Amino acid sequence: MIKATGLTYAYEDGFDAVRGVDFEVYEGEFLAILGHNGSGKSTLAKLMNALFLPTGGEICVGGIVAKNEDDAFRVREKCGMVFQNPDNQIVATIVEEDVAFGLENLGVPSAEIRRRVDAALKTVGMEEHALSAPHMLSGGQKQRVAIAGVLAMRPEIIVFDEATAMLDPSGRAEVMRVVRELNKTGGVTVIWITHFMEEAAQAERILVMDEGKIAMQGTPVEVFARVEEIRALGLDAPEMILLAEELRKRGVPAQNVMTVDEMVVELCRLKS
Amino acid sequence: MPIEVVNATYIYMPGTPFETRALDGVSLSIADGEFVGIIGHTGSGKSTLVQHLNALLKPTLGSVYVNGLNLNDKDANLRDVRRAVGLVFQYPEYQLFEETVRKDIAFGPNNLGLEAADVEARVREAAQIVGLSEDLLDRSPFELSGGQKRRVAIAGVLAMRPNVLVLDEPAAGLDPRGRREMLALVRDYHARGGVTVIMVSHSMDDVARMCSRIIVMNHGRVAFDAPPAQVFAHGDELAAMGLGIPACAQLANRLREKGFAIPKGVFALEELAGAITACLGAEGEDGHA
Repeated sequence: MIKATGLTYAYEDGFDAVRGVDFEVYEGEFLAILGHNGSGKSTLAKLMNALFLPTGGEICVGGIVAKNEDDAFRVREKCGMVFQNPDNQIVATIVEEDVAFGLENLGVPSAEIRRRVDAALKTVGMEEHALSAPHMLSGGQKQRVAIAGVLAMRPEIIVFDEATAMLDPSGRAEVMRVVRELNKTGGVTVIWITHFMEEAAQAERILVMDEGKIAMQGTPVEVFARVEEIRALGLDAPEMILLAEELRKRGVPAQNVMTVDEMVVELCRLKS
Repeated sequence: MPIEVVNATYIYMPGTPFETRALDGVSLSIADGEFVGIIGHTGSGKSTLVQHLNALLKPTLGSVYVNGLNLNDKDANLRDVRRAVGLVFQYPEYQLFEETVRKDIAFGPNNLGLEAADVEARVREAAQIVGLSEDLLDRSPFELSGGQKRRVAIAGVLAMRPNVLVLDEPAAGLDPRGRREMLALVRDYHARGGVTVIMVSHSMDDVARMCSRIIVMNHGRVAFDAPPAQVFAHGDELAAMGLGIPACAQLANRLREKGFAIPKGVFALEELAGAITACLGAEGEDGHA
């Protein structure tokens, strides 16, 4: 779905935010990208939907290698993006008009806009708020409206750049639930950039960025098992991974647990 | 500088269709030198509550006393109260506006009418507490990283030398290392002594690790006001309020249901590992069982 080879991006002041990165994103996958601030993960996100064009190497998104602005538009049709701050992404004063904004700009016929907006709002569970004013919504609801706006464009891939960073725990859970559903039943390929390790733990695969390069990759279980490296990269392992390690030190062989549920099952198994 | 909130109710936009009772009969008292965590989901009233502590808002009904002074009293000198109770808002870095870090931190002290040398001393002290090096003082705050900007904003409040420091979500939006550093900064500031710290947070984990007392707000009321271990015993009620409890506390509750003899009040990681090991009767390789 996405293939990067030697992908490099240097800002105008000469700072290389992404330095010769090779990776692939597979169709229908839920990929999390971790990394501390300044590790290059947001720059990588902007390369994926051609907001930035590489200064070196190549990135192919849905079969398109963007070389100029025209290609960039085609990439953005394939790959939508949701940003951190919901307030910076909402342009209209009524929810459904906001969701329709992108389609109107493309000159989509109005009956088709109606269909797509209704479907997108339904998918994110905001159909009852179609006529609400965005500023009266909670952060989680606003973010779901922003997702609906992207969904209405029918992208194959959506990049979420810290889309839950400014939300409270229930807002985060709301958004995560919607995105997992999109991925599972809607077949949308999801790239989920986050600082929350519990969210990354729900992904199929994790890439860890550091100094513009990929420092680690693998399944959550593989990546988080390397607790010391994770720490050294300025990140944290989920608490159950740390507890499992602490238990192993004390002679309790708890294996392959990442969540509380898995730990309960594992400990009950060891007890019997 | 003790704080006493007595039966305080606050209504936003009274008499309109948007009328909301953000606080509903809240009573609590905070003694000198305490480190209190206030937690609750969005809309629970926690931010409204802290804005009462330095009279940015005054209760529609009930009263708030700071150091014995009733903030509703017509003669109350609210300037003194606001000087004594420093409030750091959410995302305070959005409030930076000066040309240099030094000028931004100095803004409050300058308004106190202090001598230039005193202002400079306060700026340096505050910068040092938040871990901003001297060479940053002459830079524009807008050139700094997000975490550094936030430190500048906090230093601006500390330079007023408040007796009570209230922080609304000081670690929100930072990366894991930034979070750890910010929380360590708050903890160290409290450990210096002589100040009361009140920290509003969404993160039960952070509050549990740092505070000796947690106030849980829900629908404008105080749902719980107790030490962390007692609060976490109410896992189901907290979940119903949209609040999680730390993963280890969740695990401890779940294991107890499954017949593991985990003592009450155990939720710190190492303690819990010890308690589980004891239940399973495993012999540790390094001696502890």
